[in-house]
Amino acid sequence: MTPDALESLIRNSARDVLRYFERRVAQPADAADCLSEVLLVLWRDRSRVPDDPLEARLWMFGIARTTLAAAGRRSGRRSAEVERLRALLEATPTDLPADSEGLAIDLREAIAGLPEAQREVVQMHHWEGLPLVDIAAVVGTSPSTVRSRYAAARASLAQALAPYGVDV
Amino acid sequence: MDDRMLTRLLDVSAPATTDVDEVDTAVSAVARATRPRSTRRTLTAIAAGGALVLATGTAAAAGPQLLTHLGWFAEASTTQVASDGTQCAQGFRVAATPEIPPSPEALTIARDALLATDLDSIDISGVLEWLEPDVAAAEVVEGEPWSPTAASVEGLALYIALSERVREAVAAEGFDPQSIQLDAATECDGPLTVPVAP
Repeated sequence: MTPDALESLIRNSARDVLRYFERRVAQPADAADCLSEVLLVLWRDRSRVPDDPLEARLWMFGIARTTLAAAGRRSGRRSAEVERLRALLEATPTDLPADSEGLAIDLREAIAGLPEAQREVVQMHHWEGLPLVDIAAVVGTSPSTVRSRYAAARASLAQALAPYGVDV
Repeated sequence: MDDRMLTRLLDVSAPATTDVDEVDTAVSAVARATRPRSTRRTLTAIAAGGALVLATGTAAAAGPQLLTHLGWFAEASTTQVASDGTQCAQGFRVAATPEIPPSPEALTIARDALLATDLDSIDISGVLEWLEPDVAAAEVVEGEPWSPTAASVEGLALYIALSERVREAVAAEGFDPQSIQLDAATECDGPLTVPVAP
């Protein structure tokens, strides 16, 4: 991928990747480190980034997924820019959605209790808005496997939400 | 509630994120700071905080025990043809990054990956293509003019390809690839001393 195309990819997707990390890391500031890591990998592996913009975006999420596994364990020196982003993420409160707070919390806990492979599919589909076929590309498996995981996850979640009258 | 209600609930279950303009600005700044602007920055990105040293040496011959003037034995080495037509040696070893001490297992995996790689047949064409803009823009490194030759650029590409391979092997076994770095020394078309900026 050319430097200009990679810059365009980063410009269009970096904020979404930061949100991806914000929703998953234990400490909000760690999302800044994770994003920086993804960007370094993108530049380092530029020759392997797909030329197609959609495929490149999914490739970027794939890097993010790998990076997430090591989140919070890095102790290397940070640039001033990353420190600034960390400070912003730490200082800015993120409120829960105003509606259905109790249900939202219980649902999030139910999602957290899913097997990892199912949880990942549910989160990427509903939190990042990725179609199931794109999630298959990100996690490196077949679309049918992702569909099966998603169906199983929905069944489990519906069961967990039965007390709220969710009947699927 | 029905299936559509579950979908709607899942859609709004995402934890809130920091959606303020200042974050957009800060993200752009991180993106700008991350982009390599020269070969030196490229090497910084590759080393990801490690203390990469790519230096000229005076070894008489390439071999498994190539001793560089840096004072260490290469764990793997190869020969190239320098621009004056003579044979020259390039050696590599696996090392720990000072910031993220690796586990002994990660070091072993990295060394195994390095030793299992045929340095004479590893594909560096993609890396050469990737380096092209940086080579064209090469200006001054550490106050010394760098005039890239085919041998020095190929040596750099070999270093990058090997680093990727070693780190991929470490990551594939579940260890942090940033805990490993590859040191390199070359006697091909120096001086090419590139201490990585912090």
